[in-house]
Amino acid sequence: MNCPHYKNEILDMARNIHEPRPELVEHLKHCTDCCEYLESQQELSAALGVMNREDQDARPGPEVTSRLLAALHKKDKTPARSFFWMKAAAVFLLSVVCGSYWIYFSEYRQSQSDKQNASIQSDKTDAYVPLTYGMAPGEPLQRVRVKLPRSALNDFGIEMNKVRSEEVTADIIVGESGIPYAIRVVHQSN
Amino acid sequence: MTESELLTKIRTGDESAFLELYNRWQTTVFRFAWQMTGSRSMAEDITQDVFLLLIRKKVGFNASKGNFSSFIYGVARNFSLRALRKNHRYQGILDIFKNQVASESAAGGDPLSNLFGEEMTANLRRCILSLPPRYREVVVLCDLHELSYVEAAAAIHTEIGTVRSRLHRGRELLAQKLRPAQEAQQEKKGGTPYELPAL
Repeated sequence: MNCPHYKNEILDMARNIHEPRPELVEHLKHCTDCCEYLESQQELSAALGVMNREDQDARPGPEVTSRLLAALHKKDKTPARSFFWMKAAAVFLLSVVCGSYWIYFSEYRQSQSDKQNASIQSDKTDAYVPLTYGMAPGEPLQRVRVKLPRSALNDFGIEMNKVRSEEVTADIIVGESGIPYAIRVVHQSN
Repeated sequence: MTESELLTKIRTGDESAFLELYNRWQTTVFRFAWQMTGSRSMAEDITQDVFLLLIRKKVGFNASKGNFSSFIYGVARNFSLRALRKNHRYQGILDIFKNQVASESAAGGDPLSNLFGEEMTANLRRCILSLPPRYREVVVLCDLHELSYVEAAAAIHTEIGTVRSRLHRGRELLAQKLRPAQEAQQEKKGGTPYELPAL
């Protein structure tokens, strides 16, 4: 007897998947265990068939359909609406950020400029010392505040204590061509 | 119109396409979920989740990778297993079912007196629910939904041999659960328990 060998075939036979081979039929005539197994499986198949027929008409309630249709329509509308609001929100945020930055930056520049002017006006300065001559009449000039080593000021003929290492603030009058025309030492108040 | 074409239309919000697909598959999905969970309300939730997934295109059906039947069974199976895992109360109900089946069998109750009766079906349903999910799903797919081994294997993402062995084991367990009542019925009839079935 090789009953385990036939089990799968008996199962398929009970499920009416295919006809049994003559070898299996012969085996079933002599093996009560396999007959019992086949019988139980056939009865099970019959019972499952009845259950299957009873369940054929089972379906979800109409409220499921309603909910799904509502979800379908909501989904249909949602992307366009959310896209519009996303765009609107992005534009708004961008304008707020740009506006804030512009206001902050202009205020900052203004305050820096005021501070610098106030500083320049409050500082004590020496008289300008001419550096070069030949300035063209009406040439636009610009005052540039720089920090120079004391040795550089000595080179310009301004007497400085070379031993001290810190830099000295000076105003240089520069022409349009970049040539320095005059220099003065600034004694900063702070 | 194929399911793939219907899905494309559904994703553009086409209601008639959705209803067409829903009417084709709602019973199948609901029955499967019901037979897996034993609860109508849970099965309705699962059915809703399956179709919501199709509407919201969270998963894509690719016709070149398999047929729609396997795809939708696979989705319904995943939702059913997730619902079974999540719903602890269900486990309690299942335990009651298991105890009820055991006590009926032990007490020599007669649920199989009318093999094709309502009571038999209810008893069988309880027995199916008492099977471990891996056996239950193949019994439901192969025996109740009449899927081939190949289709069932595609639906549960496993090998055909695994489906066969699980079905074999699942049906053996079912037969074992039903056997005491079956023997009681045969004793009542006075017949021999093991007659050669008509071939």
